[in-house]
Amino acid sequence: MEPSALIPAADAIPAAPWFFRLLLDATFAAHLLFMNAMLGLCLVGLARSGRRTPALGQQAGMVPGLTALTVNIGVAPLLFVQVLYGQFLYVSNVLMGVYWFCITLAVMAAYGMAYRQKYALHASRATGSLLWALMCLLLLGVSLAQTHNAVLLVRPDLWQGYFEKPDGTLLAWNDPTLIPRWLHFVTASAAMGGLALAMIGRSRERKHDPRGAELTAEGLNWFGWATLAQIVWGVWWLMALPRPLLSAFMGGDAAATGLLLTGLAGALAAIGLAFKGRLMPAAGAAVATVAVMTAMRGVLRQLYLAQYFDPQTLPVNPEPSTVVMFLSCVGLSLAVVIWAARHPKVDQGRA
Amino acid sequence: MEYPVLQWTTWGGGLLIALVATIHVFIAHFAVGGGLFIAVMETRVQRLGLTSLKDYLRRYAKFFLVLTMVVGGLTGVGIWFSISIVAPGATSALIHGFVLGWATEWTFFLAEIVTLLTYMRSFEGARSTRRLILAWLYFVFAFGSLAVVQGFISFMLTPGDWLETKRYWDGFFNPTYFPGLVFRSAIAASIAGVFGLMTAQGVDDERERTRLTRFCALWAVLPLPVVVTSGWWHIAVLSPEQQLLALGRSPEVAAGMRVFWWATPAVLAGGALLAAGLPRKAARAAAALTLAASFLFLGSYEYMREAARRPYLITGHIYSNGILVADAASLNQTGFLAKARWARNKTVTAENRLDAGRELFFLQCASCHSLGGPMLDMLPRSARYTASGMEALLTGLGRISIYMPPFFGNEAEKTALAAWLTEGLHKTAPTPPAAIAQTEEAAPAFADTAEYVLTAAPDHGIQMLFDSGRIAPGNPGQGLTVQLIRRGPSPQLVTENVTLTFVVDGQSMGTLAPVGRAFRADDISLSPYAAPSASGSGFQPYPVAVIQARDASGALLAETKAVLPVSTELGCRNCHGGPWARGAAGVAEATAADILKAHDRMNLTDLSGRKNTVNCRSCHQDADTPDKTIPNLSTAIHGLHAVYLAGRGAEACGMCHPTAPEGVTRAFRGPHQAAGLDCTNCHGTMEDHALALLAHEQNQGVPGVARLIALLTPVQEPAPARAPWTNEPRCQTCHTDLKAPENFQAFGHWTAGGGELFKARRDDLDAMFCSGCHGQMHGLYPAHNPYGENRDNLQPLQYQNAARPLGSGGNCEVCHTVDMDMPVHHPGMGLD
Repeated sequence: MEPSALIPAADAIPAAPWFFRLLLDATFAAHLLFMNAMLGLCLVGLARSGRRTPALGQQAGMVPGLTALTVNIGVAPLLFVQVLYGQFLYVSNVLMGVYWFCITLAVMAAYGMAYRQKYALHASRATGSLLWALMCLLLLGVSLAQTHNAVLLVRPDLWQGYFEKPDGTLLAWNDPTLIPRWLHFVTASAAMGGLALAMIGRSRERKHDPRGAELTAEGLNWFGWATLAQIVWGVWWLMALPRPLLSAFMGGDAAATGLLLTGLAGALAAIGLAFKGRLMPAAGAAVATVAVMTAMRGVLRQLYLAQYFDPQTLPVNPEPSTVVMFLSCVGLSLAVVIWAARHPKVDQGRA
Repeated sequence: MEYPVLQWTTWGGGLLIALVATIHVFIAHFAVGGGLFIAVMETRVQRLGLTSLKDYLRRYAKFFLVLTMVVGGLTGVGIWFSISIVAPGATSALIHGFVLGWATEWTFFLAEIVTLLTYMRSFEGARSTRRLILAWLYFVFAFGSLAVVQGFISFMLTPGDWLETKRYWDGFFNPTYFPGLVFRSAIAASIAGVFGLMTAQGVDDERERTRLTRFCALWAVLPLPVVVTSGWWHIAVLSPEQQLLALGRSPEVAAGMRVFWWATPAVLAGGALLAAGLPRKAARAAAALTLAASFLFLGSYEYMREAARRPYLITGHIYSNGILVADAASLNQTGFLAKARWARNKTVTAENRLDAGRELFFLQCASCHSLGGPMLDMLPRSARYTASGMEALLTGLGRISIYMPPFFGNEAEKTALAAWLTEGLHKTAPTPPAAIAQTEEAAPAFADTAEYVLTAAPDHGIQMLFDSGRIAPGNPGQGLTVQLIRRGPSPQLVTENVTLTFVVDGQSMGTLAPVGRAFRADDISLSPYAAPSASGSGFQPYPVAVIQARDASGALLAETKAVLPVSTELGCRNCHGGPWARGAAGVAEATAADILKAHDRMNLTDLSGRKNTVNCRSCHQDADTPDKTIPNLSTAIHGLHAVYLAGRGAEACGMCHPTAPEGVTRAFRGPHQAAGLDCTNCHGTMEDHALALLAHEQNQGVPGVARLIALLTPVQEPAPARAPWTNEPRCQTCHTDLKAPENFQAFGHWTAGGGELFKARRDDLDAMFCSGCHGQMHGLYPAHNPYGENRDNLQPLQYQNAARPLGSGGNCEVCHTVDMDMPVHHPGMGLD
């Protein structure tokens, strides 16, 4: 059976495809940043929990909030990717339905554990190794499932496996990019976890905590080495791509090549800044790199699917009033978020 | 159609969505109501100076945060994850049509999270305007989320003008938007109060606890009148079909309404009890029970809302199995599998029949039905059907019970699905043809010099005997008409100074009563089980009656034999389950019980619980009476079952009547069968047959029959209305002037009254009954009886040694003792 025969018909969308692509990349980049910080804090937390180390409780205290924001901000790209690639995403979701649904359960369990860890480490001097390990295990499983889904989405040629495994347990183990892709994202988390640790250190430095500088250095170390490892996995991923796609990144496609080079430059800059101990510039470079890499990921997805589908061909039934409604509410909500986040956290009123 | 379907068995039927959504909906409402509760409490703490409540509020808010964000937030995402794998087509429609609405709701969700997290982190100060603002902001955004999501949830139930315009706002502000929003807002407030009742019991100070409990009880109880009022408003704007389902008047969804009416007073009672004051231990238990009741309260509402939406995911747009309404009409012609993108079998063949059936199950049924799981398990639901019965069910699917979508596909696909649901799921082999051993019955002797001829014929070609004690349909029993003819050039019918008796060996005997120029016996007690056949099966649907005529002195004048057909081979079990009661016939108690259950389910009766035999005709009377409200039995049965048996021609008759060609009775055995005709030539197809009966009842003003008429598509031109047992197919329609037939369609030409029925009709001399010379209906001479070639032909063989109507072919000597040259009984008779 021709892979294209299995691709469902696409539904009409209410605004131009570029608008949703913009929203998808912007929200996905934000989701990745929070997700990387959340998973990274867990990975770094597990690594640091072997001995009594400073700021472990503070690390744990950040995870629940980051999880809430990761989940929340993850909703948006999930929404927008459905608009542009729904006919591919729903199929990949169904094909690996068991694992896809387990993502929710695993995140819920990890989220619950994060609160437990937060209150446990706040109340005692324990390091919480077991909980860190369990949270890492669950979230690494989630990331692996997400990677399988991302691969299945762009590989309709693998979809025929459904007829042998129609119970929602089809995975993409045979895809040569799967492992480097997953490692690339996981090490990105370790890097962001390190960056978050460095931020904790920096805030302690500001409060004249003698161990603040040590924490900052430790965090930047994590960030630098993990980003370096990420480049290694990224090269592996690149080389594992099908030949036409590899060619696109090697000069065949201006956007793909340009984004790759920009992203690489950003990563190298971030590593250099980290090893020099310049936290905020390194963080800035990291954020910019994630944004570039997110756009590049979108290009890669489209290169995979080019033979089957181009989002520009989606039928559009314009609903401008809903665009206005959405943008107004984004403005309103962001204003409230910024107001809430900018004010002092603790009241100085009559205690 | 467009997407693959997860082939889950135990977890099938939407269990995943049911679990996730049930939990999420409860917590999501708590997130709104609890938000208001926190904001109001925060205001009371700060503005009224109730600082003693601050610790309680903090505990409540902490519990609220963890529950709503960990479980509520993740189950919310879980709904997206689960619907995309269980109903991708509908998910796609919801997303693509309303993406910026969902995105708007997401921005509110983001603001909720941030305001709640910062609210919790600003608890250190005792009094803070900022904390107060954060609390109220949280509530505003939580309510905003509800107000947006309500648009989409209510859209699925009542899409309104969206079906035509496909515009966002037409779908969003749909008929149930505002009633649903008021309802949900009130219920959210009530749930917040119930959670408050739970947490209030953790306050150690007794006075504080009592005060808090009363406050929370008010929260729980005060919104209830709004809930009930807006609930009625909600129902009032639904379509009549949806109202039927939402109100639980459709028995399939009645459980939801029952739970609702129990849970509401339970919440009320719980709130009242706690407000009145209970010891702490009892109060904890009462609060927990009230919480459980409020869970059921909301759950039952959601269940009824979902029920009202059936058989759609989006009313009028997409069925619950993901098939678009726009595509549905063509699928019966094109075939479903050919159009299903993810079907491996594109057409049904003899080799792939069961596999294609399995695919069809997952593509069309598995979205609601599990296999061995808790969601509408198909295993027990299909167990009672034969393959033919299941096929009938699929034909009528979604027509009588409107909560299911129809079956989509061609006839071969329907047969394949029926086969898999029966043979495939339950490993039941197709029923082989009944084994019947033929035994010859000897005709009595007849001498050319005999003084008398005795003719005898039963009223019915087959008497359908319902042998379960649970139900008495009250069908007319078998009758026997006998005529004694004194032979001679001018034969005479003898009716005086003679006694006529009949004996059915081992079953029945009696004396025939003179009626006019014949003798009659009515309601003869017969059974197909009483006379063991040579095959040893013990089933003999053609028992032979020996009829004797004696003079006043008791001397035997004449003797003859006639079969009095009776059969218990009623195919109710094809759909109603149960085994054959005896061998290959008989209605088992289990079958009868299921019939009563089905009647109760469809008509809201209580027949199943009755101890006495249910006499069908006590309600379904044959007579046409003024102000009749219930159709006669024949109309009720045929009218309903025609919906399921449509499109099956003569095969439909054999599903219930003992006429199936491979059955144990094979009651259609006369020359009409030999000529290649079937039931439909005289009685019409099941649809046409039923429509004529329904038309009669409609003319009587019987309510409800119009709905059945609307469900049936006539095959032929609509026939005149007919009353059962009176207006039957008229022989002369084809046998014009009683000659050889000129056409072969008697359907629609009815006898005008009882006197014109074949069993009652006499010749042109008004002397001989038609059946006396031609034999019984459906077994006319020459008949081919499956239990013995000549079992139905005993009298022709006795009197003329030839299996043909008495006196036919110019054989007038049978009665006249001499040749005749005029066909005085009726034209033809082989003398023309």
